[in-house]
Amino acid sequence: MEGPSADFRRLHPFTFVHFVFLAIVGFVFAGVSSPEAGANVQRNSLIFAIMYATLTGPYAIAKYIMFRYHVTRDEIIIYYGVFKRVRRNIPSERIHTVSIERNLLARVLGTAAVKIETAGTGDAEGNLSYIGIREAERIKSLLRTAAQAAETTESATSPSFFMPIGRVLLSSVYQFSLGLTALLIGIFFQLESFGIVQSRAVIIWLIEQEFFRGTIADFWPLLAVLSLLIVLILGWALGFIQNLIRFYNFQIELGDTKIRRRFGLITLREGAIPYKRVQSFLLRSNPLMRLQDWYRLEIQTLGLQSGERGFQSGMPFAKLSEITGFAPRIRPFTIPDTYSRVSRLTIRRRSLRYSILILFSATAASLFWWPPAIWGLALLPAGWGFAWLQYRYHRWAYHAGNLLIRRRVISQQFWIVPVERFQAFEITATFFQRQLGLCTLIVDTAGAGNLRYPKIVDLRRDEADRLMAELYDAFQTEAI
Amino acid sequence: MRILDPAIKKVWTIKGAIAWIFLLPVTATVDVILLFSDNDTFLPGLWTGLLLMICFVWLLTIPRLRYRYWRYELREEDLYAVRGIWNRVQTTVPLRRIQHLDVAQDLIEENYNIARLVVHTAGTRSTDVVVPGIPYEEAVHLRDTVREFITNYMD
Repeated sequence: MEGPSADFRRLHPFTFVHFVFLAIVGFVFAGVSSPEAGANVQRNSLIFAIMYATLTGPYAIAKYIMFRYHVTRDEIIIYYGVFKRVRRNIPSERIHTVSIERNLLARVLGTAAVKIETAGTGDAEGNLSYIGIREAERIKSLLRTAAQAAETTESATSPSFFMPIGRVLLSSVYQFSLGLTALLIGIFFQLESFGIVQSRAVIIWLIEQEFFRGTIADFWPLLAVLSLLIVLILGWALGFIQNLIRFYNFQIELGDTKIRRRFGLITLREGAIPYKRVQSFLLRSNPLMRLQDWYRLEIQTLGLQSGERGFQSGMPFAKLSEITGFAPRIRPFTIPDTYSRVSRLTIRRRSLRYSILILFSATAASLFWWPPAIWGLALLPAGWGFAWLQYRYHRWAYHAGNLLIRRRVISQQFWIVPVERFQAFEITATFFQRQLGLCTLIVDTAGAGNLRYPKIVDLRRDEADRLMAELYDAFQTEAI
Repeated sequence: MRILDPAIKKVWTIKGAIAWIFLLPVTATVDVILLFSDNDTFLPGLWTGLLLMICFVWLLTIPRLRYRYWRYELREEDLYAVRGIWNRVQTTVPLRRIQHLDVAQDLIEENYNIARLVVHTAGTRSTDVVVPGIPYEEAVHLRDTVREFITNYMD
């Protein structure tokens, strides 16, 4: 294979600083073991950590030396690989997205990661991590200009939606992060096992004071309620911080062929989504947000960034009127005046499901905790109420070439799916649904997740067949 | 609507039996441990016997039921498939949405001269629609028919 010529450049030397930082993190994880562990475990951990540094260090140096790139208006060529040499040519006209990402360390060092994405893959096909920020801007400008020349001439874009700091802060108030809370609690218990924090000792000391005069066993209901409160407050605080960091300075601009976005406090994300990759819209909300008419608009794409699983933030926090004024410029849609409901039998089916679940849990609990477990049966009316709410919130409409579906009570979803974007049609019916003459209509689109996709649950069978025929006819005439 | 080749019942039975066999060492180990311990609660060989019984019932019923409810049809502009014992699924894949097609066959299927038609779309749920138990020649014919449709459509 022909090697790189003198025109080819190397990555920024500070790439090593990123590597050393990651290596230190890995070293700490591999080398540090609990003080309670035996001497053998500690020795083995240290040997593992030294082996990790010895093997990955030279490999990182070789990887850096072997990596070269060259950018022209026509293409970007990358040479890489230590054991297997690869030359990758990415023609400019195939490039859909050139994004620049800068995490905190990159911003301190004046570096950036450039990710080049093409159609047909969810992952970046070219990844220059890390190069100088000026070089990153040069590459982005060069490739963007070339890609635009290959398509139509892009007119000057104008800001279409911007989130001022006040709105970012307000949107953060509505957030809750369960994942981060679990992670932090995990770290906390790890620190407890190292003896760095000693919460258990503090709690025991507090309880033994004159005011309480007892043991943990005497105060466990109080401690359980307190723990739950702490978890809730922590989850809210972490959700607030995470949202603030993620959507700080969020702005989105609509060009002739692409949507450009720029946002982030610690990691600055910049990128573009071509209109032709937009599959559907998802408006998300929750009862609190909906009280004030706040929604989050997500744009489902063919999966530009694997981290976002095909859903890109379009408007992280906006009024419904703002969204209906903005999003139709990406793909046209209008909100209908009336919606259809699913069958009322859904209340019966869902109530039965919750009743079985509650009865089963109460019976299992009563084996260990009799008679208080019997109070679990008091949840039965709550289950029926929730089933009724699910029926109330679940609505759908086929309107002006779009299928609109509103569903879920707590984490509310409002789907707007253009009929020409359908990939496949599915009608499913479980055993219980079949007994009630019900079924679920699912439309498959590219880029939706396996857990989040548009569906109408508990339609009457004849109605589902009629709707599917109508959608399929529309698809036949509109889809390309 | 087309039904599958009846040979698929044997294929599913053999594949099911292979899958169940992997559980045998687990129950056999439990039974051997119990045999040499001071156990008087469980009968010797109870767990292995129970596993064999469930396996027998499963192999006798599930492949037949799956076969009974599987139907497919290549229509003018789409592929239509109905299947499922407990959860009945009815899928319509417009031919114009098919990205690529495979005719797949493993050793057991080859022995019975049947194949699977695997249809790939860009969708998420129905990325791969697999129609099993089609006679090999018919699967190849179906693939060529769909390919021709796509080629004409692209032109």
